Amino acid sequence: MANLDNISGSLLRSPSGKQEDDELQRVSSTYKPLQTFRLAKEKSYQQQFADMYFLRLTKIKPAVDEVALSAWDGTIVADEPVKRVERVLDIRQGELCWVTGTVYMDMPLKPNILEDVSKDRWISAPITQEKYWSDEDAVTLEDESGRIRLVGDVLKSHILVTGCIISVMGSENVNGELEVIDFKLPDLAPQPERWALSDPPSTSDSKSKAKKSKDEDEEMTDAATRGSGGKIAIVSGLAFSGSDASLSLELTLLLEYLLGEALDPSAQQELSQISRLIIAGNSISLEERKVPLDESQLKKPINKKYGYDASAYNAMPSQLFDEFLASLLPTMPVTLLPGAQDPATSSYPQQPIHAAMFPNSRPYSAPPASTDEGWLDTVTNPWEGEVEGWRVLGTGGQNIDDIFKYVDSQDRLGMMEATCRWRCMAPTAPDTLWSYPFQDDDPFVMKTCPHLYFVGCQPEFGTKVIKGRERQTVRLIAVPSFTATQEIVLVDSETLEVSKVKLTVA
Amino acid sequence: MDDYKNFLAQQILTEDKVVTYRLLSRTLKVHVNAAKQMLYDFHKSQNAKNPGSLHATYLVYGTRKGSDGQDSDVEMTDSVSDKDETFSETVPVKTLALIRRRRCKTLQQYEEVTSIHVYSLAPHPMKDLQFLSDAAQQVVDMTIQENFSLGALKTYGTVTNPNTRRRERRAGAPAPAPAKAQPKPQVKQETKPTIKEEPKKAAAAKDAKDSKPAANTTAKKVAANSAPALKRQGSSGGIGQMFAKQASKPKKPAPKPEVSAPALSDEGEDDSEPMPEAKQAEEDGKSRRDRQAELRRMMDESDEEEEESKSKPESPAEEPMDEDTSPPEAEEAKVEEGPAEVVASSGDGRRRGRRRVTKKKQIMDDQGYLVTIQEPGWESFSEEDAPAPKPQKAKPAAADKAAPAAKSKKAASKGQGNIMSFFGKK
Repeated sequence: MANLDNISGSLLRSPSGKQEDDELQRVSSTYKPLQTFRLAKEKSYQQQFADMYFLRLTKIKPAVDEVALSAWDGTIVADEPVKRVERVLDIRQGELCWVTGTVYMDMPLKPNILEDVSKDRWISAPITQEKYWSDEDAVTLEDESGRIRLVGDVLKSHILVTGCIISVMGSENVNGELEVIDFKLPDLAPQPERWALSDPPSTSDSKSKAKKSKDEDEEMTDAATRGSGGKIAIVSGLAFSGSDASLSLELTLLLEYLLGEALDPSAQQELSQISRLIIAGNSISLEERKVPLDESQLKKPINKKYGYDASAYNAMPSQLFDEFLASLLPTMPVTLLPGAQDPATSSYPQQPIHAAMFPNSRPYSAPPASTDEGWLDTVTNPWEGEVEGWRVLGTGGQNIDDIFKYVDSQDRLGMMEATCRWRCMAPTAPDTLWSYPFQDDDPFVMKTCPHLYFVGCQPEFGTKVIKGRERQTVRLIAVPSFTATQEIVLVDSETLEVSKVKLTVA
Repeated sequence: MDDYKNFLAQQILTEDKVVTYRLLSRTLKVHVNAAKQMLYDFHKSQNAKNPGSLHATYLVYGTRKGSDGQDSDVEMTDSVSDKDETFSETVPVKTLALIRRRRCKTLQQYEEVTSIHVYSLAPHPMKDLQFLSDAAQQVVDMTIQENFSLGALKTYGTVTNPNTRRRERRAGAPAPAPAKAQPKPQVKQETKPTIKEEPKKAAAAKDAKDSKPAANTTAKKVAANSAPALKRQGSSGGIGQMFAKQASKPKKPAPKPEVSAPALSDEGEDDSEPMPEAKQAEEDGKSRRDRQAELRRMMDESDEEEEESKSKPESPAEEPMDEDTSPPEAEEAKVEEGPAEVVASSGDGRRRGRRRVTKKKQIMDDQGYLVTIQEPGWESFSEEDAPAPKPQKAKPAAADKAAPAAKSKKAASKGQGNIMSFFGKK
């Protein structure tokens, strides 16, 4: 029960006239982005996608083989020892064996490139289905030698999608299907220590500047008597729009909140602990881009001009977003991931939004061709880096959204967990999730297990901690779309505890 | 101290405007917390005089009651939330709410309110709080006018950050509009003074490129290093480049015929030592791009310049050597005659560039007939369209054609490459 009189931070009083307290300083952010998903500037699109599956299988197979071997070696089922089989093609009917391969989901509702090609369609049809999932789905396991259909109720115990690598144990029946008794996932990848890539701020007093900020940092934590240091704010789906202003007030409140201008001095003290903002996709609203088709076809430009016709597009959304960023950047570093709606490449991994989109914020970004990270860091989606010493993996949400279509489940956190256990953050790429045709490396394979894994643009908030067999601990966060919930997520940079702030306008 | 009252009275009562604490803070250049209190004070004093003349909104921050699941805003998503309680941990939720009136009812929804202040004042009860966005936009505009200056943050009480890194804009580039005036123009400015040097530089780069693998690494390094130096020093940057030339000049034993803009190509002849090349590419990503652009521009500019630059490094001492390694002249001849193709890059074994083709173009004339005309034009191509050449060999197509002719004449007389090539064209 709140009472007006006992609100500690009430500014409902007349101005005292005295000078306000010392200025607050924001805690510093230790930050080291990785370039895992950065594509070369000049990239070829002529190679085949098959290499990705091959690479993925060769990279993950040893891990899952190891798990399977330790689980099944010497196992005897119904007087029959389980035999290891190297290739799918080597499975003999009636023999109990285990084999490792790539899952392929045969789904009637799933868009199929072969169908497009055979029907001479050169533009893939827009995807209308919410879900590819249906009752006629078949799970198959394949490797470079062949493919076998998997049956058995045990498969229903865990979600499976195209592209994940598993080991299955069972025997082939008369129909040529593998009756699965058990299956194994590669499970969580090895997890690096905290501060594996960057130095903790306390040891980095080589620079006087860093030292200074450290001192202030300590002072503040003393003053605040909070056990933890800073917080990392994550938000997604800001969806700046030129025409729809219904959220503009919430966005203003968000800005004031992050700037530390809202609220009273003690709350502002709390706000100064937010050391970094991560924007996880969909910063710009999509609705502006509905081009009236017939009109655009009728109206051909009569005299050809250089540049764009300013009447043909609306720059407002990116302008508003730029203003938002430019207001925020003086006080807070920002990591910007593109999302499905953002002006970046459409295939995974999405490349950074070009800084030229943000004339006002641009001075904060890294100069072109420099290797330093910018104060405004426009990064890839997915993105990997080290923030406050924690290995962080984040995406704009497309990978989970795509897995979501494969399964009959609402459990987004479960899907996030599954990607960690598969060691593959985007297994459905390149099948249904558009992807760059990688040749030498499948970056979606999780070589290391992050401490913090967030996925943006989700319908609602969710978080949980999962643990691996080697005591890996991963904090999963489904970051809700700001348009949907008006929530931002705050992650404690010491404990990775999560809290959220909801903005309402009543 | 009372000027805020005048300001507020004028803005709200006279001009019928909405004033938020941020707008007040920006206008009077006071701390936001002071502005919040001013709003409160003004509201109180005005409403004491004339009840109902002012309407305030409040910003409330705190923990709502039952935010662990039963409260109203969770209910909306309840259809799925019965499941998601098992999926997700519950986390502490703070609510930042903008409310219209300081109603007890609203505050009772809160378990704890940590902070409350006046957000805005308006002369009317606000039906639609979105009016506040206009005021917010005014603040943004003011911030833009101030050019997002860091100094202002302190005045307004924004949390400052000592680590903020911002690239300074070019001097003379005034505030927001020319914000786009970024590196691009800067490069241009700098290249102008050095334009005279470019041919030399090109030659240097070329030489470095052309030299045999043995000399390759060092020469290339120097050339590469000199380029960024030049960039940085602007017009006074000649030194590094001279240096590059000097360094590369002696090491020009057997130049390869190459029309390609040399900067980019790391062709097969480097097979023996690919590493240094790759490394250099990384290091000098930017400078290399600039250099390439310059080279290309230069190439377009005039063939004479190219010619000049080409012949310059051929000091008398090296002449004999040049004679037996004639290909460079052949290439010149080709340039002279207008290259049939210009290979812009041949990195990683693929060739890209532009070549001259005769294009068929169908246009509709004013009587509505379709007319097909042929016109020469340039077309960009990549390796698919052309047979990938072995980089060690002379250029395909035109080079092959031109080389034999030019070669014979070339050996005969050296200094008159110009006129020879003129004949060679026939």
